[in-house]
Amino acid sequence: MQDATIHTVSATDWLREAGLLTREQQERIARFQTRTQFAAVKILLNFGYLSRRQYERVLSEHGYELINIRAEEHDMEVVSRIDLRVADRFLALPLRLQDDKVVVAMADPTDETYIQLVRETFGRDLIILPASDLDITWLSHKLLGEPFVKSAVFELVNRDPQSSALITFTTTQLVVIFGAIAIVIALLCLDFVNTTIAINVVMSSFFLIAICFKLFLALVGSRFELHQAVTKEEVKQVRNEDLPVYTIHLPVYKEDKLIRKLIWNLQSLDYPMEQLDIKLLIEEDDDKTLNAVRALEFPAIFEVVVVPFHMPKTKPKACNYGLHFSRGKFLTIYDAEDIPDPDQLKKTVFLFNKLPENFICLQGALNYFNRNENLLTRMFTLEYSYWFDYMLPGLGTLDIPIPLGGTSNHFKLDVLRELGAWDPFNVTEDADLGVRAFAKGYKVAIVNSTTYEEANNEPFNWIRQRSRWIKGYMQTYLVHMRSPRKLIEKIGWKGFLGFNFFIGATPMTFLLYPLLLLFFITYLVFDLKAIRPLFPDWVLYISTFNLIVGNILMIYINMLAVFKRRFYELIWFSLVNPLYWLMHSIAAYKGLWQLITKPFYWEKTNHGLSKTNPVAPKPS
Amino acid sequence: MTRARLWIFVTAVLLAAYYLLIGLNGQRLGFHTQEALFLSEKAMIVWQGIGDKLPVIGLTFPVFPFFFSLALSSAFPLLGPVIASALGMAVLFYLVLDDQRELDVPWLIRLGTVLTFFLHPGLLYAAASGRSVYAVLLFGYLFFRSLLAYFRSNTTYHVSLASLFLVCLVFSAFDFAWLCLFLLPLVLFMSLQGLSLRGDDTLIRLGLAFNNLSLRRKLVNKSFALLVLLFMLPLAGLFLFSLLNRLYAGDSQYFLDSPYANWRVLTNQVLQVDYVNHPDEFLLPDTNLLISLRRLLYAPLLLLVLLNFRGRTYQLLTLLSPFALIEFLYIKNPSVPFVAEYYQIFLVLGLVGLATLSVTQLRRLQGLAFGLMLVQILTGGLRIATSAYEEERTFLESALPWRPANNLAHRETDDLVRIIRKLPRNSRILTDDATAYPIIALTQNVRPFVLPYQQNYLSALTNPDSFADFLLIHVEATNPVARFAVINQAYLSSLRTRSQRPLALVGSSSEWRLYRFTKPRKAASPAQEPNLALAGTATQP
Repeated sequence: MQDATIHTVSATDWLREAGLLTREQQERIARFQTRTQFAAVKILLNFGYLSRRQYERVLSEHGYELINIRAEEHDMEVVSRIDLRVADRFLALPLRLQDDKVVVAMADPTDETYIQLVRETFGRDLIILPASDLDITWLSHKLLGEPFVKSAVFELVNRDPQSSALITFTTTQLVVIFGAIAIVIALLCLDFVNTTIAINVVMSSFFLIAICFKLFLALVGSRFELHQAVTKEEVKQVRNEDLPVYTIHLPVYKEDKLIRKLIWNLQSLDYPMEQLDIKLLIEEDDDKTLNAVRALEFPAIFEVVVVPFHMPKTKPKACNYGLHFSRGKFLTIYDAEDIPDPDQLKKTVFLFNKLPENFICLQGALNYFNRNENLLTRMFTLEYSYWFDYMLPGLGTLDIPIPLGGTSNHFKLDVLRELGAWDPFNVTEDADLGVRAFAKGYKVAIVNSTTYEEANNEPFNWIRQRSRWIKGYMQTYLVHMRSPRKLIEKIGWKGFLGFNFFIGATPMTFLLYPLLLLFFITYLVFDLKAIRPLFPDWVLYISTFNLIVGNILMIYINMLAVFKRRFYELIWFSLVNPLYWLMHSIAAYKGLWQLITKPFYWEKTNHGLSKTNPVAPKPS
Repeated sequence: MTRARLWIFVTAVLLAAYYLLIGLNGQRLGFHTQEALFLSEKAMIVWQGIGDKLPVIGLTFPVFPFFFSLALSSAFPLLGPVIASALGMAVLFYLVLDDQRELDVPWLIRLGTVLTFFLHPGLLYAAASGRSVYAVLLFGYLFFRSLLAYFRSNTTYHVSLASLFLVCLVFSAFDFAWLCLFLLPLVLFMSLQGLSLRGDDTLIRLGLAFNNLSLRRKLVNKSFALLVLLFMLPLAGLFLFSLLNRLYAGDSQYFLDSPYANWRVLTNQVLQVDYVNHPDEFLLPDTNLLISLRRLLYAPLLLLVLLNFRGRTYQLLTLLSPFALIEFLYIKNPSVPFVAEYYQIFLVLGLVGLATLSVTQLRRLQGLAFGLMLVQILTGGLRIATSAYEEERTFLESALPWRPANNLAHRETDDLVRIIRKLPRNSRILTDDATAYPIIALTQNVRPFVLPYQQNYLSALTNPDSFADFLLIHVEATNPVARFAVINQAYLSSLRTRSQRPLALVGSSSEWRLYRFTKPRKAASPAQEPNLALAGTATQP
């Protein structure tokens, strides 16, 4: 603990003396400071100049040993006199009054600007506690972040309650659902055989129609297989001086093993570092990740934002929180293990400038770097390939709401805020946001750039992840179908039907699939006489036809998927799709159960399980 | 819709009306094709019949023409297939002309195309006969267009579309399933197209691809993937259809072998039997070795296209594959002459190919192409007039002229149909629609007939007098197809020996006899007898 003295030499000078910073870098930092009002230490530690360890060593050499301020006493009256954004900018926080002085935790004890600010604010001298910038960030967000986290959670509910999934089932929906169940039960009591036959035919026909719609979308999408929304030549035309600040959100939770990889992947982005505003969003209780960042032996290129504890503990809440501190013109989200194409950001900037104003989001394609790891990763790769390379372009072409993918969706930040950002109560907040944006008259386009992720290679982990996705689709469907009439008014009949067949039908087909299979096998394989009356010949014909054709078409869609990326060796694996769908069904029932019992619960997917070296395949 | 498109649409509507008029006139003059009557009868069973209709709905082949006519037959029982063929050909016309508009094809060629559709006898037959020729031409056009488009665009979209259209083609004419065989080498070339190799020459590219391990692997993988993508749907479709046939008819080839599911079965069997018994006398128009050249004679436009495809191996192979198909089909079954679709498809191929040529080439060739289109109309007339099938041969004289009906056979059949229509209500007629479908279709009422789709049919066969009042029998002496009906002369003889109730002839034509089971002791009341005076030429024994 040291009293503040007037420093004639700053920490950057010490770093230059230690050979860790050149004069040119120092000048660049000064220019950057002028533009952003950031403290030098924030730039040094978050924009790739030096590692925290190097910085600590230099401070230590000049007599500043870092103190664990998380264990220090603090007085909220003192703390709250400084705005969180100021604390974040200077990486410094007043903690309490002691001996008529203000005890201040500072990442850069030589920062005269901040010292002056505190003096003016409190009218007292300072006692400076040299502290890790991460601890200051952690403490300042924990102590001062409450209004921001409240806003992150309740902004959408307050502004547009109809669009929030806070209420899972509305009263009308419950009446409709239970009314339908009651009618079915009544009909079963009155005429069991015919009602069962009708249910069977409706289910199997619905199954086939939903798959035919998917095939149709895939075909429409395949028409533009070779279309390059932005060509390489166009990317070359982009001048670095013209590029705006680009925010990247990296919501993580207990991803300590992936932090190194994350930095390597981000460093390969072809975008000026000073124009990047990368936010690593860490939950308050996630010391694992925070310590992993602390222990990095090389410079970090992101700012840490600590999300204070508040339920629900979901990714969208973290992103909404991060929005308060984001300063970009555009924003995107990546997961910790993502490997985006290096030119992705430049492509999106170019495309945003090329497209009409109402295009507010660009979705990049997602695919997997570990596709050949096992059967599951191969199937997952096929699925992602047809989804992002064929179906989403198909939806875009037909002007139907596009459910955004989990990551690599690039937004215009101002419009994102205007839309109320992500719904923290929806576990597929991205899909929901795509529909919400469409309903407000905005458009989403697909950009020809890929982000490679880690495919889930472990079945239980896969089911956890998928159950969340399917639950999220159900939530999204319920939210937007609260008033079908209004939805039609907003997105038109085409959009409405597309929404129903794509978002609504997807979980439904997974729920129906095992039932149809069960009926079919029970009747055909075991030839149980008891259920024979439920399968008159014509019903069996329709069911057989629908089930087999449905499966064949799904296999076909999977086969289609291999072409764009030339994953020809995966084509045989398409035949396993009926089994893969059974896994979907398990996940769908789990999702349905959770929708009823704990709708906002975020099933965490474990990443970093792959043994494959995460290298993005060469673009085809 | 742009103005040019609107014009094409209006012309297509006029063309459909024109085709329909020819079809109606043909029916007025007594021109009916076997297939149209077969499809009508099956549609009538579906709409009017009482019994196990599922195999009829689900297993009747060709599937697509049946479903198209089924929809129309609900309102127009006899005319349904004809309306379907007229509309189908009008759709084809629209597609062809629209493609030509998009590609900015010279006006002279467009005029030639319009004239072809209005005047070519083969196309008129396809449009006004109610046969499935139209479906083959339509889906054939779409299939080959998609394949050729793939070479331009290199996108999966066109391969997938080609696959879907191949499904439609196969389910419109089964023999086109064999086309897959001749497209196999093509797939290799299609894969080669996608590889980044130097040089334009296909053989050099192939050599380069095979002599490099990585490229070879890519080529093999891509070829296989394309193969699966192109042929999976048709093959899986056939597998599923066979499975359904197995489930509902106990025979996976039911749709190919049963006269109740496929009208071609009996026609082909008669031809095959004749061929086996009298190979020397059996002269077919397609028996020479220059079978493919005959096609070029009837579709010389295709020759022009092929000549202009020099150096474009992929396109050339694509358009040559149907030639290999017909050569193969001829070797496979030399006794059965080719029906109209196996000639007209080459006409359509010419139009597909034409749309693949460059505008410069088309401008240079437009006069020649127009001339060849006119020649095609003449050779098309020649082809149809010399067809091995009577219903094709007589089309020009039976369906086109605008004159009063005076066809003797037609009058005879009409009279028999009139007798059946005038039978007392609730009369039941036992017959076998394997061969009797034309009569049933012409009556436009399937209710009186006891037919094999009904579950009591076997009982009715053994105990006819308990289930039916009348018996409709096909006469073998005048039609060899009658040999394949369950209810024929032999059945009649056996019935006469064992039945307690004598049979009285109620009406007949040269091919059919209608008997009534008379009551042994009590004479039938006059009110129950049909008014034979109105029956025209119906004869008493």
